[in-house]
Parts: sequence; structure tokens; C-alpha cells
Amino acid sequence: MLSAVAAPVSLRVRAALLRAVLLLAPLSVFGIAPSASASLMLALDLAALVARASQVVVARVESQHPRWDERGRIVTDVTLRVDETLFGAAQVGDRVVLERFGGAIGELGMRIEGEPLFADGTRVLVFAAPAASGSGRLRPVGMSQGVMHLAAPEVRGGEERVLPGGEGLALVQAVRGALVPAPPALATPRPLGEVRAAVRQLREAQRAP
Amino acid sequence: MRPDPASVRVLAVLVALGVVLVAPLGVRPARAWCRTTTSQSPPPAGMCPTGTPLAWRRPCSRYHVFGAGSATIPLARVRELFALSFAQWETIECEGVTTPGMPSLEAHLAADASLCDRSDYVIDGPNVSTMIFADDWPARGYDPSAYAVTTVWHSTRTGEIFDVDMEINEDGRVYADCPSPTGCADGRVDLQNVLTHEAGHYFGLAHSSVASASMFPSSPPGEVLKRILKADDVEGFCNAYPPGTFDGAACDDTPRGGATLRCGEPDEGCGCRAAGTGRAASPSAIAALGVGLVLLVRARRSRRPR
Repeated sequence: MLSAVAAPVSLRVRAALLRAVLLLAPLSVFGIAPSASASLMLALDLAALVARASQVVVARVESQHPRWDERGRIVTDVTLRVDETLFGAAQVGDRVVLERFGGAIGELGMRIEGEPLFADGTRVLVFAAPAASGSGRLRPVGMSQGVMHLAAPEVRGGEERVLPGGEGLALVQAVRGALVPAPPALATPRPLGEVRAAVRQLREAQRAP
Repeated sequence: MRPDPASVRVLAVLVALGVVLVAPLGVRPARAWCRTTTSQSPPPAGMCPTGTPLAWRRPCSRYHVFGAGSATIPLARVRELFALSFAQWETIECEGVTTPGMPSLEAHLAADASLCDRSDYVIDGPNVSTMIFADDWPARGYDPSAYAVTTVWHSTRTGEIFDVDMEINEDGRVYADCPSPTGCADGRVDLQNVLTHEAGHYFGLAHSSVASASMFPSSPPGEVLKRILKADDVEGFCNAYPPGTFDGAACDDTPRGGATLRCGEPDEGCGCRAAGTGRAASPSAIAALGVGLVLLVRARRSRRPR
């Protein structure tokens, strides 16, 4: 219920979020059809990505180093230099290490479809949370859903665009036991400023008591 | 009454994102099937990955179910569901290609239970393709939102698939053997639904973003989707394994480097080398299912143009 009086801010914000979600929910069932061969994953909208992340940063990929983990998997440590902090502990100029499952050591490659891939020198918007290993490294929230690559502006002097995440994933939601297609947090490239504003407002809304 | 500014701002942003999120759903450019490749770089926007596509280079491979299988579905039925899910791919009939027919690629469900509870690969030693129902999902480091992950071990030089392991998230994800076509109405998830997806990875297929209302209708609740492959999946599979690819090749499903049931260790006396395909040694239910599948395959092959 939208109201100028009575409800505290957090409730008002939650009401607004709920309305927005309810507004969008009926439309989401017409999402992109995942194929039978993509990794199945619960779709996370922007609010869910923000809620699950401890850090959201815009960063540049500096380097990638594959290694064996304690379970015998190949894991690639992706070193990111933070250009901008939307929220979280990392400061501009800091280096954070994001780990992704998969990589190549010698002639042996390991691949999990739906894990994010990175190119050195490129910029990314990352929604990250501490890795379960307790190593201090980070993991992207929702596999590749939590990594959105940035693309150059379409016009000179324009703004960088945030590309949709979720590469390699079949995003679904469970509706009464059935898996039905669900859209990613962003369906099309959006200006960085627009996404930045949305992330910050969602963060504020979620932090409100 | 006027809405408060904070609510309006949040709503405006979400609605704006929602509009852009929803508006293009019907017009998003269709990108057909892609194959998993050796590339470790992100694909160009809207394109398939570059690199060498991954594929089995032998007609036969074998996989094992770890331990007792799922906590919620009897092992015998789990094995049947695996067999049915893989059979979806194995029985694909390729049409509209130079030589129509079946790719003759076989993934055998072995009779022995795997003793390896993790995905790993030993380059110069024995290995086991293991299918694990994992109730320790967070400890494995995987995202709680994932239903399953399939790990494909391969040659970065040639793209040959060496080994595939599947880990199925049973931590908070309750799987069921949902009746078709009604599906489950109690919040559980159809296991065969998930396995059919992941079996595509086993064969080296990646992903697709084909929007097709005819192949993926607007999903009445309870419908068991994706047990049946879509035309796009079939096309991708036939591209990876054109009929005739394995003509003249012997069907030996022994893993590269030898067989074992343990993680990366030689397995003395397990009988797994000799077991070969699990079909002959499977429980009766699986045997019956296997016979059915063989008959289906033979029937389809008999229709193959000569």
C-alpha cells in the first residue's frame, strides 16, 4: 500500500518492492526458453543479487591464475582491481580475488557451464560474496548471474553499458514443482548509471530496519 | 494521499528495469545452440564461445551413480531416470544432414556404484565418471541456487572430452519422480527434468537462448518441462556428432587411463574394468528398461536410409 502517512519507511519501501515484483511477475513466465543443455539455476533478479552479495564493485580484470583446489578441481583465481564500490568493504584501487570453477592447467581443461568467464583488461560489474573455502577469496553470486561485463558506450561521450549476466545458465523458477523459464536480472544492456542507481536503492531498501 | 518519495523512487527504478527486462522478451534475437568449447574467455555478446568445441571422440563412455543415489528417490528408480535422461540424447535421429541417422553415441550406466564423491580427474591414471547426489552443497563451494553442476574434463588442445562428473544439489532441493504430464504440485522438482539438462553437458553441448513459444509454451503449472528435447537441442547434438562419426570405431567404454570406482586411485578387485557396460549386470528393472531402449534404438536404426 502506498501511503504518505502511517507506514514506516522500510515498510513503504517493501510495499513498493512488492508492488514492483507483483507487477513484473506475471510477465516473467514469457521469458527466454532455456535449452535442455544449459546449467539449471534459479533465476536471481537484481534485488536477489544485491541481497546475497557482500560486495558489489565495478572492477577491471587484471590477471587469472588457474590452480588445483583441495577437492581436486581446477579453480581459476581472477584478480580484479576495484574501480568503483557500489557497496561493501573493498575500496577503490583495492585488489580482490574472485574464484571461478574451471580453467586450464597444461593440456587439461575443466569446464562447468554457467561459471563466469573473464578477459584480462576488461571491466565487469560483480556481485560477490565470500567463498565457502574461507580463503578470503570471493565467489560471484549466482555463478555467472553475478558477473555482468561492461561494454563501451554506443555513442561517443555516452555511458558504458552493463551486459546481462547469466551466460551459460538456463535460468528457471520453480512454480508448483515445475521448472519454468525465468528472465535474468537484466535482459538487455543497460547504462551503468541506471544499474548503479538501482543497486544502491535496493541496498538502501534492504538495509532499512 | 500521495505516495512517499522513497517508494516512488524504488518503484520507478524497478519498473524501468522491468520494462526493459520484459519488453524485449518476444523480440530478443534468437541464438541457437552453442557448444562448450576449450575457450576460457567470455564469448562475444550474443555469440557462441570461440575455441575448439568439446566432444567425445569415442562412441562409448560409461558413468556410475555414487553410493545410494538420492535421499528421496529409490536407487533403482534413480538409475532408470538416468537411463531415460541419457536415452533422450542417445536416440536422437538426425535429419536434414548429409547422412541422416543416429550419431551412435552411447553413454552406459554402469552397474557398480561409484565410490568417488567428488569431481576430479587424473591425467595419467584411472578415472570414474561419477554422478553424485550431494547433501553438502555449500561445502563444495557451489551456489545454492544451482540445481546441479556438470563438470567436463577435456583436452585444451583437441577438445576431446575425457571425463564428465555430475553433482546434483540435494541440499534444500527436494527431488521427486514427478508424474507426467501433471508434474509435482508440492514444491518438489522433477529429477528427470534436471538430469536431461545435465546430460546435454555430458555430451558437450553448452547453451542456447532460443525463444520459441511452440517448444517452450507458457508453462501451465505442474508441467514437466524439458524431459523431451527441443529441435534446437537435436540440431546442436547432430552438429557435434554427425551420423557416421563413429563408423567402424569399437565400442569400449573404459575411461581413458583405465577404470576405477574411487577418486583417482586404482581400484583393486572391483570388477569395474570387466563390467563394461552396466546393462548386462543391471538390476532387473534396469535390464527391462535397457531392453526397451535397445529395441527403440534398433527400431530407429532400421529406419535409417541405406
